[in-house]
Amino acid sequence: MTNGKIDYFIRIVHSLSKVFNQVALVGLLAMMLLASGNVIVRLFYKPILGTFEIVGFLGSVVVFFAVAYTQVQKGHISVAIVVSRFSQRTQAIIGVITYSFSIILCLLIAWQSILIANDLKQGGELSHTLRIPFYPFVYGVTACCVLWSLVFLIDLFNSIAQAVRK
Amino acid sequence: MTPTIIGIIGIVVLFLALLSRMPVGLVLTLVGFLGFSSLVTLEAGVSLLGNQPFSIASDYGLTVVPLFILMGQFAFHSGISERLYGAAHKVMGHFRGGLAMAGIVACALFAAICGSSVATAATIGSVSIQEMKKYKYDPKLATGSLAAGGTLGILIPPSVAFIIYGIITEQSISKLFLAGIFPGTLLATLFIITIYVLTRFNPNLCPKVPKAELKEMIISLFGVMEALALFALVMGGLFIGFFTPTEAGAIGALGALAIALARRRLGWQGFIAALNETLRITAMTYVIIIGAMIFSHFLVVTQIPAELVDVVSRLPLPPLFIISAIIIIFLIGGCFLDGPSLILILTPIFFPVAKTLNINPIWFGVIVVIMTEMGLLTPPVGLNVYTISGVAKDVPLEDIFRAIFPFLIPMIICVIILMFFPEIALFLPGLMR
Repeated sequence: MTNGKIDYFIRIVHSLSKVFNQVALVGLLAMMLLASGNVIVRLFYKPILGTFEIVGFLGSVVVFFAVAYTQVQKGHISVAIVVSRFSQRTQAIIGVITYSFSIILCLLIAWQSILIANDLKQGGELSHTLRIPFYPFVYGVTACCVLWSLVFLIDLFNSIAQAVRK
Repeated sequence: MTPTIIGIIGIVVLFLALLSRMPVGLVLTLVGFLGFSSLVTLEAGVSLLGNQPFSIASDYGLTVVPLFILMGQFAFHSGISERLYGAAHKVMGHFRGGLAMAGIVACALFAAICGSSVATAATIGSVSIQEMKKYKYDPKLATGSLAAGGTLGILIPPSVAFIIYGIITEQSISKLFLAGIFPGTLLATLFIITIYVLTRFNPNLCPKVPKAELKEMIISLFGVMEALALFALVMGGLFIGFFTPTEAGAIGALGALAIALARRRLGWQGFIAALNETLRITAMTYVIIIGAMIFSHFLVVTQIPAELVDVVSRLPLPPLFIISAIIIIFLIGGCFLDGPSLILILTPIFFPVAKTLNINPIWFGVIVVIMTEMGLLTPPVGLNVYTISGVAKDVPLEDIFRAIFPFLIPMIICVIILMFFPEIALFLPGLMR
């Protein structure tokens, strides 16, 4: 790929991560309003039906739609104390290995999530109270893990570039 | 190879892989997946990778994590910290070391509405370090006391550390929160005594600060009211069983948001920043939780926890000795791991041992959290020290690491007191049905 194409790819992946993060942001606000609203409403009337289910679904949205952007920000905790003492080149080589493993893991999770979502869709699995289907949320996990793997792919490109730089 | 040998290899590989700068959560996932696959089947391992992430992320009980983080973030942006420190400054600033003591009190009060130690240290640090600088306090005393005071964030409820411990050990989060109140107050008091002792032996650490007028003191105390009211609302609701912990987090977040809006301290940018920061911490924490859960599945099939229980129960040693050994392992682990990773990696290994020794799981949770607090201070990975270093940029990092050592002593004393008087932690949860 040419530099221009790589830059374009990076821009697209970062923009998508940001959009996904905004979905998580809306999910977080909805979660706060629904869980607190349920407490207030049941004080005067009765509980909002299916709150537990929706808050649970929103939990998966909040977590997975934010993972890719968190990686863009390098927000996932890691232990840097040893590797940071090595030369830039050694750090880059270790980066190539760890990013490759990370990509494989993300894609494995994505692949398995598709299989589970397909099963849930075919089996017509619905939530207990509101009868909401599970599978769209599991497909959501797939999409987020694929995006996360693309962010790692960018990190992998950078590490390879650093490792081969003279 | 026996499952136990594979388990031991897995633990060694885990610790080596952790040093590779790969995200902690993914290292746990990778080693857990490979280990589980080698002991059961590859198919079972891959299936574990598929079902754990969604089932954990969509668990209603776990949504307490983002909501309490959000509460802390809104509190961070609400200006509450300035009023808390202002009140503590007016009331006790004129004592010897009073401004540092006020920092501890403000940390303890802020901890009552924020579940994170780093956020507590950053919030109170940004207000109080300037004040101590203005009155020419010794920079090491100022930064060391605040790095230590900030750790109260996870001992005084709400606390993300207690939530994580509660999730992994299936203990009541409400009871854990209540168990943290008195030990947190005790530790804050011990920190204040430490400051008193340090400044008594070396008065040059802190020049005198003029005493505020009585009227000023009384007015400043109103600034503490909103934080206390929010704490009372959240903990009261949990205590009487009116809220689930998730609802308590949501009400707390809404309350903190309301305070911030009422005080006109939260603009659109601050609001979005609070949400984004919550998402970042949530995603980071959940990735570790998911990894730890996958790793625990591996641990269970290795039978290491069961074997460890078996070995320990046959040891001719008193439980206090074994608990002390576990505490030392946590202390060493805390030097290299952040809070959530420390709790999530070591608790599944040692919790069954504690249970076999008939140690109260709530009390053990309090001890684990205090050890996690120490881990936030000890080099080389003392997250609170880095946080304070970010606030006090003119104080060298090594100086802050040196300055926290006197504050590790009260933490050890606090653990010893809790060992001999467990009721300090267990009294309040004992009142719950």
